[in-house]
Formats: sequence, structure tokens, C-alpha cells
Amino acid sequence: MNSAAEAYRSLAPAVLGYLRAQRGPDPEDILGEVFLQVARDLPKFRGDDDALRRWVFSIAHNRLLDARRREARRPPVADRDVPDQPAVPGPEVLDGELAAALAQLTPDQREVVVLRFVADLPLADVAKITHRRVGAVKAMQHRALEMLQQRLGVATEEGVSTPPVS
Amino acid sequence: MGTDQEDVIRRLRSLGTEPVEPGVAGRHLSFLAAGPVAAGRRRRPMMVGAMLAGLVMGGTGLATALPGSLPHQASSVARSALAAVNLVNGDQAPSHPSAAKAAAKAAKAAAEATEAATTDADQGHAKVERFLTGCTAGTPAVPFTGNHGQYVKAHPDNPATADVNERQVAAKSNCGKPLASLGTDTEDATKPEAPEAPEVENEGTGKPADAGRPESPGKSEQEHPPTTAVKEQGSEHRATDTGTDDTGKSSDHRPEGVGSGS
Repeated sequence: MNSAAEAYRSLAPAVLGYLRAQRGPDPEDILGEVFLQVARDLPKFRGDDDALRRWVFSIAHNRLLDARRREARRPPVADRDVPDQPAVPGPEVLDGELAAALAQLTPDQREVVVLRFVADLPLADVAKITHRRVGAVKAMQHRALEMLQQRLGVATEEGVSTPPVS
Repeated sequence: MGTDQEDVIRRLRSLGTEPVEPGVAGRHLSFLAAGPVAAGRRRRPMMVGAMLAGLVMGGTGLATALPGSLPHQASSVARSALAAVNLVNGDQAPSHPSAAKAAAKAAKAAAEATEAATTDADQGHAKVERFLTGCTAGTPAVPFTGNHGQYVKAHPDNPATADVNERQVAAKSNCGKPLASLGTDTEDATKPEAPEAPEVENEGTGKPADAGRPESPGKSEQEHPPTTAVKEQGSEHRATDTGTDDTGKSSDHRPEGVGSGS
């Protein structure tokens, strides 16, 4: 890939899926930040498409952490009464059931399973990005998939429609 | 269970294939094509330029605050302010015209000495190794190179400091003297002479002028037996004894050195 625009067209859907599945604040905004950094640093980048994918998701991972820190520092303050109504699901949430099941995982499990399957990264790359050993990542992935299977199976059997989570 | 892991994985993968909304993607792509990256690249040289401009303007301002550019009182205020931030040595800065003249004279002498030393070296004259450790001259102080006479010349009396006779102090120092005249060891030469006298006296040997020579301590002890009078009266009386020094050092050097060194 020669330009940031090409990288965007190729990787932006996966990055956005990763950010949404991780329940990041304002995923589109973070997506823009990620690719701004990619555009800035792309001339210095050396590597093939797999390395680029790993690099972009490393940036996405870091920007997501930054966004969460920012949000933790500045909690939203409502200066007027907020109506006590369920939020209208945004158009970005397409699989509410899956999103709800992901929300019940631990943050570490969710991070591993999302990087592994939504970002479509091999175990070794997930281990690098999350600063864990490959064995630990594999174990987490196994437990997370079992949990998801259980939740989604229960939801399917009971016919429970979980409200979408933005 | 109604869902196997393959199904879970398939659903997870589908999350990463949903296209970005066209509006959002268009905004991001236009952003990437032109804007912030280029702006970021332009910002750095602008910041560097602004810093350089500030440095030049600040430097010019400081230079105009130095002596001769402002009225006397304003100059004093500026100098004390600069001394507070260590840009000017407030103690050494001349505070009135005669002091400024003396400082200029000292600086000129120091420059002449340095030039003479350089010329000697250039012309291939035999270079005499001189004691120059910690020797400075001029205002602001610069490392001194030259002979002892030049060093003394570079330190005229400063009328601003009436209690210190700069020329006399310079004359007593070893600055510019050949190392050969001070002793073979450079480290010995750097030691102040004054503290040596009490050390000898504390030993109770009452050594005379040639006391420093290792081969004759017994002899000197016999010839000049220590007396309580000499011990009690201190350095002034020892000065009388050491006045017969034959080491080449001036005999009047030691007593004052002892006095000032204590």
C-alpha cells in the first residue's frame, strides 16, 4: 500500500469494527485519529501488508486507550435534566446480540478476541500488541469463545433479544 | 448449545467487514488527502523561526542594557537584574566610569598577553610551561595566558574596590610564572604556599629556610633549635627565619601569605 488513502480503504472497516466491539467512545472520531497518525508516519514505515495491518491496529489500540483516559479525566456533566429513556441504537450497531455478549467478557478477554477475529490478526501479533505471551493469548481466546458461545447460545435458545449496545 | 464456536467466530469476523459510512469515510479521506499533515509539517519551521527571532531580539535587548548604552542609573538597574539571572557578574561589573576604565585597561592587557603568547607559539620560540591553573584576567574573566608580568599588568587596581589591592594580589599569585621556578611537580605548584608554614610549625621541628629539603631535617633542627618564643609568636617570627630562604622565592612572600591564608 502506497498511500494512507489506500490503507484507509483497506483497513478502515476492520479498525472501525475493532473500535466498536471494544466499546470505544466515539469510534468514528478515533478512526480518524488513527489514520491521521498512519498518514503522518507512513513514509517511515517499512514492511509488508501484514506488518502494516499489525502496525495500524497497534495505533488503534493506543488511540483507544488514550480516548478512554481522556474520557475518564473528563466525565460528561449534564447541565440539564436528561430524560430517562433507553438510547436509540445507532446505525453502527448491527449485531446487538453479539455486542451484548462481548460486553459481558472481561476487558482482557474482549481485547484478545476482538483483535484476533475482528481485526483478523494472528496470535503472535495479538500477543505483541497486548504485551502478553502467545500461550496466554491462546488461553484467553479459548475462554472468551466459550463464554461467547454460551451467551449467544442461551440468547438464541431463549429467543431473548438483547438490546443493542452502542 | 445452539451455537458452535465457528458461528461465533463468523459473527465476530463480520463485525470487521462492515463498511465505514460513506459520509464519514469521505470526510476522513479528504482530511488525509490534504489538511492536517501538511499543516503539521509547516508548523515546526514556523516555531523554530519564532524561537530564533525571539533569541535575536532578546540578545539585542540585553546588549543594549550593558554599560555605555544606558544612563548610569538605568544601566546599574539593568546590570543588577541581569546579575540576578547570572547573565552578568554583578560583582565584577564596573559601577562607575573610573572602574569601567580600569576594567577596559585590564581587558586590553589580557588581550595583549594572550596575543603575545600566541605569537611566541606561532614563531616557534621555545615554549615555557607556565602556571596558569585558575588564572583569569579581564572583565568578563577569561582564561589567562602569558607571563607573570603580563598577568600583573592585567590586574590594575580597581577604584571601585578600595579594600582590595588587585595588583598586589596578582603580584603575589603564581599565575604566569614558569613551572620550573615553582617546583618540578605541577600539582605542588598549584597548592597555596601559605598553609605550608603552619604545618611545619606543628611538627615542632622549627625548620629554617631549607626545611623543605628532605636530606637535612636533622641538621636544621640542630642549627635552629625550636624555641617556645618562635612557636608562640607565630608566623611573623617564622617569617624572620625564613627570610634567609635560598630557594629563589621571595622572602616577603611567605609572611603575608601566612597572614592572609589563615
